[in-house]
Amino acid sequence: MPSFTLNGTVIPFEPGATILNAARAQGVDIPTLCWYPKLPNVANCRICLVSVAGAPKLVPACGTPAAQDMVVETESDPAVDNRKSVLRFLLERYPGEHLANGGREHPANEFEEYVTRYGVIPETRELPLRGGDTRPGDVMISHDMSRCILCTRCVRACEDIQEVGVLDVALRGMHTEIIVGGDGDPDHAGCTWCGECVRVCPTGAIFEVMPRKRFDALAILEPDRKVRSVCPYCGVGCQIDLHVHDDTVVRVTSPWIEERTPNQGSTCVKGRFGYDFPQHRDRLTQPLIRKGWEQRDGRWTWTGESPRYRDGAWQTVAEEGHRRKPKPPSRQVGKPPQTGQLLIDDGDVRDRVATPAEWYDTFREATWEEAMSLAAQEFLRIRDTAGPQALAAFSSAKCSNEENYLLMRMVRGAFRTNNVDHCTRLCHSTSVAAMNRALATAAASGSMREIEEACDVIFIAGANTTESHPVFGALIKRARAKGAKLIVADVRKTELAALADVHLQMLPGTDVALYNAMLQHIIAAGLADLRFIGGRTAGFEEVKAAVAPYTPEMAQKICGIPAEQIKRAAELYAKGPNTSTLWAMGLTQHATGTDIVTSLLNLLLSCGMIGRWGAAMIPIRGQNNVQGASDVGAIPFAYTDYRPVTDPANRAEYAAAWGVPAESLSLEKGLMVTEVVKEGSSVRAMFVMGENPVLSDPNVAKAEEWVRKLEFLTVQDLFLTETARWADVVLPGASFAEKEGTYANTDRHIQIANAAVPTPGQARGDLEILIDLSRRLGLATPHNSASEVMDEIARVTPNWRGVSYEKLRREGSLQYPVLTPDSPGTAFLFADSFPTADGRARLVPVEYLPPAELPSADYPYFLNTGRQMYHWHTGTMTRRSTGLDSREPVPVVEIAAVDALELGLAEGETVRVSSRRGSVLIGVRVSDRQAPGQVFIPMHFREAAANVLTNPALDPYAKIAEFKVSAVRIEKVAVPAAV
Amino acid sequence: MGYPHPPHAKESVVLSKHFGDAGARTYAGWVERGGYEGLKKALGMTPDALIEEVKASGLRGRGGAGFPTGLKWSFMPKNDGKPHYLCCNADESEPGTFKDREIMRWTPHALIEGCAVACHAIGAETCYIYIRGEFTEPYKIMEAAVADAYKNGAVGANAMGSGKRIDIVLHRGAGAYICGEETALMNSIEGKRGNPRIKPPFPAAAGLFGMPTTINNVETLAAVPHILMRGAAWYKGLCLSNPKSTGTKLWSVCGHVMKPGNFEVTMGFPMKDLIYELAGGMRPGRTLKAVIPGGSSVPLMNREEAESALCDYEGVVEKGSMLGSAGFIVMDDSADIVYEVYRLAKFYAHESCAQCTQCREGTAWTTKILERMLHGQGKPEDLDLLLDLSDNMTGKTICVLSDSCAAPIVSGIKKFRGEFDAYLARAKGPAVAV
Repeated sequence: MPSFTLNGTVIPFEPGATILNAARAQGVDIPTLCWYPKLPNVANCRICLVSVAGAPKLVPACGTPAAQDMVVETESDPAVDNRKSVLRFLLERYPGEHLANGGREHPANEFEEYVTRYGVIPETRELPLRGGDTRPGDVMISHDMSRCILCTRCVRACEDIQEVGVLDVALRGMHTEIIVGGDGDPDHAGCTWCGECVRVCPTGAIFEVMPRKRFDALAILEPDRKVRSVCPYCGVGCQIDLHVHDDTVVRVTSPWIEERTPNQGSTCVKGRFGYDFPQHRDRLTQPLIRKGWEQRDGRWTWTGESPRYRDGAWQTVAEEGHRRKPKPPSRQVGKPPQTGQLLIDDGDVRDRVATPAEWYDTFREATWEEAMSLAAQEFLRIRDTAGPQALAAFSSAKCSNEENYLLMRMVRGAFRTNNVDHCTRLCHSTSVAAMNRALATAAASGSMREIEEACDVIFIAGANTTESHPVFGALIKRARAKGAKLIVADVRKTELAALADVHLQMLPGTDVALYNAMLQHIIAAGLADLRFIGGRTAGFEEVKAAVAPYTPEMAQKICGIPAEQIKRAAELYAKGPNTSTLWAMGLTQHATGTDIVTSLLNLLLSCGMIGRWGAAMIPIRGQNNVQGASDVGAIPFAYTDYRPVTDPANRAEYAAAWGVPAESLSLEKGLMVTEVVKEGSSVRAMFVMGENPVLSDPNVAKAEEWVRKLEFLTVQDLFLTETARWADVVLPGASFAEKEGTYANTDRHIQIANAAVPTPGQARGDLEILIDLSRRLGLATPHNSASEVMDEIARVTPNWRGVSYEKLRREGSLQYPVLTPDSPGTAFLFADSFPTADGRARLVPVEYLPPAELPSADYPYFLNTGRQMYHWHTGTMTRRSTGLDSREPVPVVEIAAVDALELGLAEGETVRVSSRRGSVLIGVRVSDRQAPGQVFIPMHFREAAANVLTNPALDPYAKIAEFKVSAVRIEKVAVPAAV
Repeated sequence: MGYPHPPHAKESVVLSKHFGDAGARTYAGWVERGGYEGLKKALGMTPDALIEEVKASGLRGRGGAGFPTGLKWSFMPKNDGKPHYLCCNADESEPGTFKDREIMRWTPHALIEGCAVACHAIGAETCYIYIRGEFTEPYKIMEAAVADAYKNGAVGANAMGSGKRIDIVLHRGAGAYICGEETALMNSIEGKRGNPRIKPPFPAAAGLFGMPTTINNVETLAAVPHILMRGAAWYKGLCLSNPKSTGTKLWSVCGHVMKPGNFEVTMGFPMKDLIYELAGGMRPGRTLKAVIPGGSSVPLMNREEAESALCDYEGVVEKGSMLGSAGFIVMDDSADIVYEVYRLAKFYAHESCAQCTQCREGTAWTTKILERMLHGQGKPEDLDLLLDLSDNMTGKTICVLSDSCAAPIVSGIKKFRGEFDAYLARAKGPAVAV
């Protein structure tokens, strides 16, 4: 390795390293202000200048490559003098009066630390303070531009990390300032409130509003502790730091760029600003028992109405759909900023989404002993009287691996049934079914970071990445900026679709025809990877025959995409050389979801686009632990590692590990979410942990009706959700910030989230609750901590065998498979073979079938459902987060301009959207993202629940419902309907 | 120099031979006057031979830095498979400088020809000519000339029938001085904010659009065809003193002289003759006080220095300043040096791109101090503060705008300290109270 002399010591450097890199690698600190990891280097602050022997003047350490035998002095007199002069120049226009006296004790930011370190004293100012755009009224990000030192980190972070470009430098000379878009309105400039600017600002000129409003300055500046955690939202699995003061999370920051974190320092708006929901006053702090349950002589009896039909002093979700809605805030360009006005007007925005007071009326507060004894008694009674098939549990993709493992262990070991499932059923279950069949795997083959590092063509199907997984979306945009080609198959014109080289905007549900046609064209054009097909796959000939009729011209008729575009996309895809394939709910949430994913996998395998760095297969996971919850067996057909429950050998192994007789474990596959919540299912009592099936399952009215008829229901959650209000026992659990656990993200990183704050009131950690309940149900549960549970998971899970808390803490994260304790993890899979019996991937021929419900004369529009940037699933968390909710406070239906015109609708008006199953009142948003004839309703809003309308037609393999396609009618409502 | 005055006997007119002659503006007219022969010859040579010829001539960059042109061209990578670019810097924004403007106004084809030759030498197919936004008339003339050149096949897909593609693209600036800095100019062409870039990478490695790029001044490129036509030896022979400075050079002389204008003289010409004979000398009753010889960005020369200096790269440096763009700002004894220095500082404060701390804050701060002094509110410590700030502004930033601001301040205080002291002595307000 080459070397040079730094301050008299010879140090090595990586070829290409700058003086700064090399010095920092050796622990020599050179002050920097404008430099920041991953940002393009502009060397404009000039504080890092150092002396180099033989150079006529000082050189910037950040911009000068180290060279063999160079002699560098970082603390020479000229270098130090320059450093002081830079600080003095900057202080000349900085409100630094406090730094002349006691303020030096508490330097408030990076800049002030340097000022203090170099002993620069502020002088009388001759020049005015700096200015700039201030984002008035913004509830998440605000500016105090008098503190700006124009290092332009924020501009570059916005432009080059997030690829948004909201911020810029305007004017010149001393009038230079940072501006927000052309008119000062972040909305108009396309801001996504990711807070990257907040992260990189070295002076706090750009800052988060919420902490400053709610906590005192010193609490923010010098928190009691910083605790590493994992973001509780999407499957990207960003590592975050929780700042804790007085046992409250006051602020979230993202760690300095670290290679072993999936986010490499970034977060999106939810990760950075959506951390206040655990502090919401709706938090459950005491176990609740439904009035009517009474304990006599140590036994609980139901004294209420019999047979049970739950009632409440409230409206059902379906009824709420008819309530009048507030007008949505306008997003139209050309109007003055509106951001955050709701907060200012309302005093407390949280009032609007708070749990209605009457929801508590049917409950009484109880002790843990009461609640747990009731739950244990009823589960055991129903198991013993009606049989294990009468019990079921929903686990949660928001809970940790350990909690999911313990829950499935409890269901299998104590309930003695395999009826355990979680929301993967509503999300990637079809991907899992298809991938299991084709590749015997259920996770991404590659890593997110390889998309940026090594991928030439990115194919994104049915994924609105920039909104649903914004950190990953930004990575894709960076890859595109570096030259990767982008193909997007999506019915909506998403942000990435607008940037794409080819946007395949098909009609809803016609995916199979599209991917079959792409494959047909690839085969016909001789672009298929025959070596890969011959050596690594089986079944190609059948697929070749099956796709033969799907010419691009035929697909054009089905999908509505010009054949030329299909051909162009197919050629780009096949020519690669490294093509990565990404997909999400747009493919999976169909009654033919497994077929759709299979057709995509056929395409991928026929082109050999898997098993090397740069050719990744990534089903983008929605929840922070949907991957892990499935991996540890919270699914009805498999134990950990997807080992089938039907195999007696597996049963024996787990029975031994759990200390139960093998016969007590069921050999029958359990029921899936959508089979449980169904008229006539065998289930009579349920344990629900952190899920909200009433709102998340298709056809809400039916689902809610079913839940109300249950014999016994226990819900463990943070809030009294739409499901929890029908429960017999409600157990207050812990939020992500209050407990320790591991989470597995979309590219198989297992990461630890540490407990940062105590649970409020009597709420308990979910692990603690599960251990207690398991024991009460008679299942030996010797664990006392999450790490002990992980040790058991590692023992019974071959792919996780090398995982331990000790190792996770040392490494920061581990990408499984981790087969041995000294394995470093695996960045990409399938380099040589697939984990199938013969090592070959299976191609499976599939035929196009139209969606279960198509538009008709009565219901002429396609309805699509999904997520928005600022909200999360059923809104339990995000709608209780001040900043996030202020961005999207009310439900809206997105509709194409031509349709709005035809229906005579204007932005903000109220419409009634009806399907064959129900109807909701909802605001109108005219959107250029929708194709004519298609409308979009987000799933987050109770008061206009998208799932009142959706079609519960199920995929035959994975039992996912067709959330993405149903037919609706839209009528303008002049006078809001009566409640 | 034929415009507005007829050439002086002591001038050596090469570039300015056809100034004032509107007939030279058309393609046909230019060919009639011997034009495009140089290009024809160049296209018959290998790029390497071409570069050697220019090296042998001793031609140095006329934009300010005086870097040997042939050497600059030789830095361009060979056979790297990337597109190469030539940028012609016609953003002549330096105060007191107006030579490139006249070249474009009167002999636009000389520039086009020079650009085409340089393109061939560096393996570029495209040349961007970045013309100062305020140059409306020169732009129109250039536009017509480029169209004419295309029409006659001098440039385009098959330049002069050589089979080589040479495209000339005109790009107008939008009024920022800093865009005359070569890397800021490239950013500006790319559609970005005109901020100078850090080096490395140097333009020859990664310049315009990240590709190998050479940037030359208008006057430099316009001289190239003459070198090819008449030989490197002839050009090298045009030298009155230092053999490192060869050829002829246009000097823009303005300020307190009787005949301001452009004068073309051989390198090494006495500055005294340039001011007193060619430019007509001082106004009646006035004496020479100071000269800024290289646009505004160089140290002031006092009378003794100016009268003893020789007009070439080394000669001016010897007398305490720099040649720069060879724009002479002449001041007689009516000039107030403090005000002049303030005016220059104000210009730089206005034009700073505001990237580098020292420049953004230093130019504004020094301007403020000088303004204060002019208003009688100077403080005794101000001169030391100005020198200290200027020192911190010199050699610390990405480009030399900051140095350019400091140069007149430092030289002004050193060479004309009495005038500054007089302002401080007259100072009212807090300064007097001491």
